[in-house]
Amino acid sequence: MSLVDQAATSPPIATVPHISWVHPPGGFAGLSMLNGVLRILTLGIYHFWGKTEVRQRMWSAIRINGEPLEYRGTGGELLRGFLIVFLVILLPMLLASFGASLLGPAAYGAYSIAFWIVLLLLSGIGIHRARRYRLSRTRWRGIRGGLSGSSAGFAWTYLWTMVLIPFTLGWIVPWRTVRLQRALLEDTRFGDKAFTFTATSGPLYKRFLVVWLGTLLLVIATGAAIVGVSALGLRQPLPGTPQAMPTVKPEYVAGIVAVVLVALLAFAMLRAWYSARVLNYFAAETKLQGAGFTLNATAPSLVWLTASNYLIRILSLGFLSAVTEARSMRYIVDRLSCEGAIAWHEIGQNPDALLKRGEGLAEAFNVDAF
Amino acid sequence: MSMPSDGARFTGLLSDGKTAGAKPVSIRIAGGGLELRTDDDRKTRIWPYMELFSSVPVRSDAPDVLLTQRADGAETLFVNNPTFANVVRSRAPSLSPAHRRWQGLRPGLAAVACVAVLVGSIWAFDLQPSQALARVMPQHARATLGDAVVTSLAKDRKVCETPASKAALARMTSRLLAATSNPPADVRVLVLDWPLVNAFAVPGGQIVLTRGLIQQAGSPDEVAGVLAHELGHAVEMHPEAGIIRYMGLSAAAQLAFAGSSGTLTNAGVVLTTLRYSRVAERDADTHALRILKGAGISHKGFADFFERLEGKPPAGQNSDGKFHDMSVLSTHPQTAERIAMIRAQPEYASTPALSKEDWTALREACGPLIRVPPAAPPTTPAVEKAPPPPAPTTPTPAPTRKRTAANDATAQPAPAPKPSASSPPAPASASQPAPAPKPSAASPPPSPAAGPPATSPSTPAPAAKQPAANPPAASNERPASPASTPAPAPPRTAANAPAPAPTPPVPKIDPQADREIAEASRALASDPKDTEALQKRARAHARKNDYEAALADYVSAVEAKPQDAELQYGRGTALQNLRRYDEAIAAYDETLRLAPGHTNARNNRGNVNRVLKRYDAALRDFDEVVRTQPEFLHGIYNRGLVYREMTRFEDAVRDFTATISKDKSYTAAYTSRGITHERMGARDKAIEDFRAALTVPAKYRNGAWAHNTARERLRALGAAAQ
Repeated sequence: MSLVDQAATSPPIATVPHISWVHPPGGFAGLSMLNGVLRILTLGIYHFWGKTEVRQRMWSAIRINGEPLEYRGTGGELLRGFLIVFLVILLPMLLASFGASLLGPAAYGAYSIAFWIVLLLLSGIGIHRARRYRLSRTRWRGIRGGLSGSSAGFAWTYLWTMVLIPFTLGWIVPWRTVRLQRALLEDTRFGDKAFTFTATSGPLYKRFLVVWLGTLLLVIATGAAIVGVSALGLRQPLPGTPQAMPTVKPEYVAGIVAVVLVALLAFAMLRAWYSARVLNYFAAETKLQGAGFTLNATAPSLVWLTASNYLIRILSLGFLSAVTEARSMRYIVDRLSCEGAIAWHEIGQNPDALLKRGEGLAEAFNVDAF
Repeated sequence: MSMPSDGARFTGLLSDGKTAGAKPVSIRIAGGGLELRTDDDRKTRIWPYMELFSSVPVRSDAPDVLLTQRADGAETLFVNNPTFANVVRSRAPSLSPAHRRWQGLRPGLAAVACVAVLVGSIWAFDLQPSQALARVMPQHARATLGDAVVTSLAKDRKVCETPASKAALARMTSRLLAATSNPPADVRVLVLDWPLVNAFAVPGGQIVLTRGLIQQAGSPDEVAGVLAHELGHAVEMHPEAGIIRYMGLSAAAQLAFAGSSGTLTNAGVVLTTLRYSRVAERDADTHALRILKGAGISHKGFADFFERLEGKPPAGQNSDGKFHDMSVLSTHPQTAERIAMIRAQPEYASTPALSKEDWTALREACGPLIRVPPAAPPTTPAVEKAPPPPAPTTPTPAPTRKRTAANDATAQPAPAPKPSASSPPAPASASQPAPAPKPSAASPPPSPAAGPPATSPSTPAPAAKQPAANPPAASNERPASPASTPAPAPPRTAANAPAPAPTPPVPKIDPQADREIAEASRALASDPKDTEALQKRARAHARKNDYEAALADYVSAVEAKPQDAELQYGRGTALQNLRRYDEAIAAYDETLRLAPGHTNARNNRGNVNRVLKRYDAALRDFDEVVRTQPEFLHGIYNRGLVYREMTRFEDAVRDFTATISKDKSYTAAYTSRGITHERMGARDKAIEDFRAALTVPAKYRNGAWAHNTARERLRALGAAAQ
């Protein structure tokens, strides 16, 4: 059937993108374990290729209108990035640490302070650059993503807002989150079009207040409970044994552990309740070409996701970490939907030149883009 | 399903890479590639199979496929059809997962090959990169590193040094250094106040010896052997090389296992480090033997030292006893191998490593062997009392060079500082110890009548009381010490109780003992392994309070006849008198293993346990003594002391009462019961007891103590002696 006349005359229509997750055949568990084994056999070098293959599989599971995203990064790029960071940053730091220890305690103290400042700065840069690498290696229908803007600027904001956290007893956190997210999102590109982000920190503070107070109460309650249980189960030392400390009977130690676990669970729920709100709010305030997004995260499902991921990672000694990454990504994609039509033909290719190597800093300091 | 042949058609979506739009496209499987045609194309375009690229490897069960031309093609083609995926995969093998993974593995395998070659050549040519690096380090850097290591080793332990010990050590060190080829630049040897038996070579040429090592070595040759061994380490720069190697391996492991769990990394580094350590130990042994030979010091001491370590129970302060059978994990090659290697060396002319004076000086580097009690004022919980009258003789605790350690039993209430010697609770008193320990068997223990609880384990004195006679173990408060000499039937009484009068801790003058020593020495000149002579001489030494000499003889005797329970027992008593409690317990354990019915040993062990505050173990011992020999009153009495330290006053009183009921003249039982009553707050009963004690003669070794203490307590309580 010929579509000639229609194609020539009517402009391509704008459609509402349909976001979905299509689980790849083979899943992630087998790949994850294979990667772990190969990594050990190759003294770690295969790590970068393994990571790449996992990302390729994950990206291809994310579908817009049924068409997959593509991950175009390579293991070689990741290895190169890591080696450069290792030689230029890690190795000098190791030598400086050793040298400082030789010069005596004062020098070592100065070195430690310098080390932490450098670490925080580089973390910010690492996050930005990792994100840029991943976006630039992501394509849909051949159109690349991108992150413009300077890593240094982002890192500076990252650092000074982090330093203020203890001084504000944590109250700067919602504002910081919004600020950093805006910095990243408004520089994020799909092709040549940028996302817009209209969130403010105000709506977050109501929930944050609850979390802040809740945590405080939880800490106090837990402390009191521990003291109470300990007092009940205290066993005094024999008089006359001069240096003995009172000890707690074993059954009561179990009680203390239970109290702590319950407290951790309560704290996790509190945090998840706040995180769900943040995620959903951010999604609602994000737009591309006028089309908005909706995320439907809930606190219980988030807690379940985090806890189960944690258990999977621990119990598999890290061999199934790819499975946990895929689960997290799937969680978001399954709950994400787009409202509003996008005229695809209006989005052009991303003009940025490509970085030739990836993520060295993020790899070295173990920070992640997301 | 059958593979579609040429000519099959599919539909897909094609994007041009310039915008995000996509066009429907029809695809035809052709011989050399895919033929694509969109509606507004005038001719078909061909995508050769060889040039097809997919970012995701195409699996056999792939439901769809996304293709581009080469890795950098701008156009993308998406076909949602599993059959198509299969077709493409069969025609373009480079899209398969296996191929892709092999490509990914190549760099990794190349890296492994390089590392294998590197490690292989290091091993094959016996290169030592970390040692080469260590030699390049400048001396002051090494010295700084060494200082840091010593600081972390020492923590809050002090360096032991007296002018005499320093000189002695310097003499030994220079003698060894003179025999070292390539001596390290700046060798400094120091002694740390640490009961652990060990020695360390640290970077920069410093060597650390421990008090435990020096005090438990049997001769200066043993210390010289260990020192020579550490010198060997220093010469080879093992400490520096070890640090460099550890750092290098850690960095490499971090690189290799970037991102994976740290436990694998650590385990590998530790195992490798251990292996190098064992090679280093062998090298150091070789150096040690050479140095000892060059310095004219016998290597037997070196071997003796290891054998001594081997003979110790695993719970002792032995640092390489832990993994006896697990060579893989131990840093020291099997000690048996080392001993054999050392013993196999030929003999040569040798002189002792240190003169007697120097050896003594070195052994006293951490202070006199008898410790002076601290002057802490006692806190007296229960009983109020006036400051005790000055002790009859308060010998000022002379830093005794004599081995009067054991006797703390000094009648004297306690060395000067101790104010209320008599105060029951006086904790400090516990300290009594030392100074006056005095042989006087008769003299009862230190005032601390309150003794026990107060007695801190560190106060050896109280504990050991072994009055002159060997065996016996008195315990604080003059716990009853059984017999004196094991040999003849153990007399219950303190047969050879030395003179009761409290005297400063000096070796007793005992001409009879001297004669025996001379006789025994003559016998030993012709036969050094004559255990009877050794035992006799040891007992004689003990009567003179020369417990070091007694111990030496017992040790030789035990070596010759390890299965003789009495010899082990004698050794235990000597150790107990020297306040080497853990070893004493070990000796008593051995005695009881050889002769489970040895009541004296069990009794003494119970006393030592009490001093070490192991009350449960002490109770077990005394319960057993009482059960098997109920007429052995000292057992009951000593058990009462334990109960009192455990504040089980009722039980204590019961035991003391039982003792008295079996022997109305058991003086100390009255006094101890009185003290117990005093602590319980029963003042009247206490006074009664003390008075009763004074009405009976001073019986047994702790009789005099019982009288003196009773008098004191009565004065303190404000009561008359009648």
